[in-house]
Amino acid sequence: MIDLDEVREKLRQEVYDPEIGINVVDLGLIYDIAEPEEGLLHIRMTMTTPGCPAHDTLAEAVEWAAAQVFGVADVRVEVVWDPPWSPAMMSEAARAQLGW
Amino acid sequence: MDVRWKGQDAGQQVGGGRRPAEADSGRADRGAGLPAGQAAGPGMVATSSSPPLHLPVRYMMLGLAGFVVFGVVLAAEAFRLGRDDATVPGVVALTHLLTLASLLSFVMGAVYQLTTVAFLIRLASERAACINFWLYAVSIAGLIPAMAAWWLPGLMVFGTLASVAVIVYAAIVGVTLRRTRVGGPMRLFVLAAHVHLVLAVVAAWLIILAAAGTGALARWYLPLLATHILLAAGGFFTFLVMGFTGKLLPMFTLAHGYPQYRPRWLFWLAETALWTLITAAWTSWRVLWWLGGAAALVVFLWFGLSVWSMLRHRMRKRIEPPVQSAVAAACAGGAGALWLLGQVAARGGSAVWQSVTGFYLLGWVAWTLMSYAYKIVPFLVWTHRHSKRTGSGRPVLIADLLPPARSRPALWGFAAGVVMLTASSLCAWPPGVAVGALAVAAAVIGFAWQLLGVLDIRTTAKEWMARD
Repeated sequence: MIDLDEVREKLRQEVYDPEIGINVVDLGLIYDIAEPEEGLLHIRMTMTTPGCPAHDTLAEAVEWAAAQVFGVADVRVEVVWDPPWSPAMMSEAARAQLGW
Repeated sequence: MDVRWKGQDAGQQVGGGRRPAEADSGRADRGAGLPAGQAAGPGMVATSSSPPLHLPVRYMMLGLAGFVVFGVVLAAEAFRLGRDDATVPGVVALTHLLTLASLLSFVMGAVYQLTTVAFLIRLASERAACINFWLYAVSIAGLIPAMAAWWLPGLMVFGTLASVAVIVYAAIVGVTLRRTRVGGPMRLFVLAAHVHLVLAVVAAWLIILAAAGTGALARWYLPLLATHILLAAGGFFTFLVMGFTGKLLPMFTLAHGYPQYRPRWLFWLAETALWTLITAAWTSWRVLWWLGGAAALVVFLWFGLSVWSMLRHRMRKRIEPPVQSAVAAACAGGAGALWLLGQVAARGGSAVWQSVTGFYLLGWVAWTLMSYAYKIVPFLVWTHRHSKRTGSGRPVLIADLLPPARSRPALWGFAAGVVMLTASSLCAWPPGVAVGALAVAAAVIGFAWQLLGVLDIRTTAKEWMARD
């Protein structure tokens, strides 16, 4: 059984948008974290914009960080565009960091 | 482990999974080995289309080297150049040291990188782009001294090589863009820019023939010169900067929800302005100069509106210094267009035209490219050298490689130098020309020093030599 909160916390600590300097969880890029089967982690995420040059690196970093959590045998990262990311998805901390 | 990518259309699967061993191999997950423009098939991950680091970086490094040489020569020759006509060999060589050896070279590297990012496609031929670098570098190294000495055989030989290299570059970009599924105004701008570049090369050849006194061409020397300058400065650099600004500015400011219709109008306005001015140069009809100048001004006003609406819809409220100066450079471009219109009204002489052109190239084109370079180069280096996680802890961010605030002295020093240089040239005040030229040279050297520091010459040289 994977502790999904631990996964989220791991992503918060380890995976940052390299340009903005805010982690992907506070940025609102992580839509869903689930364990459909024992040991299998399924993460649905998006990017701030289609064609974002950090596509590869962000998705790979999410995959890498999630795989560090105890009990994770396999990780599936799905990058989706529906619903599109909007600034409303950011946390208060992220908004504050962007000067809001 | 598995990374899946979904397109904007619901359910559109553009990639598949991969095994951990592939994930560690670096290029395995970048669709390496696929024919250009082909999306990854089942079992592969459709991800980045970026070329290897050594491809854009070699052009950028040549551009930086050319820029430093330009700065030094500008400072050394400032007194003499202020008195010379635009057609004097020394001025021609210095101008092309800026446009060909530094700006175009840097732009080639940036376009090879940005095209793949903006249009989600691999280059038509990375190998041809790599080999073409050597042709370009050799031709520029020969052409600039040949221009300075006005050595016709050298101009012919190295001019031919440079023309071939520029046309090969434009062809690679053109074929790449023909294959992309990403449309829109940005594609129009970039495609048109490269068509204009090829036409500028053709005009350059006709100028050489005209200068050699070849038949009827000799009579058309001045219109040909005007056409060449308009196509290169306006048709190529301006179109490219305006086109990529539509991608870069929202990316750097995290702008969302701004109106999308403006860039398409901007494109057609810019084409109208360009060809009206070229027609004016050939017909000498003053009404066309007026119309062309007014259209150029409208282009920059419309571009400014477009930039303003992006900034209004940005999520990053704090605008970083390089982005601030890119916006200020757009204002300088508008000032250049306004000056052109004023020059039409005042019927100024060739010295004023020379100042307008110099201000436009330095204040708009070079300043914008320098500003964007402070964002593009660190990103490029970060992607290739720091994006792979190997341990826990806070990851390296792009701003760690070169904090954006450090760009201020070079960018604003350059701007101040350009203003001083231009104003002093107009007033024929030699001390001011010298101070302005020295400020530009110092800023250019500082700029190159910072970017070369990010690139880390030793590491870059190793990566580069391992590939060639």
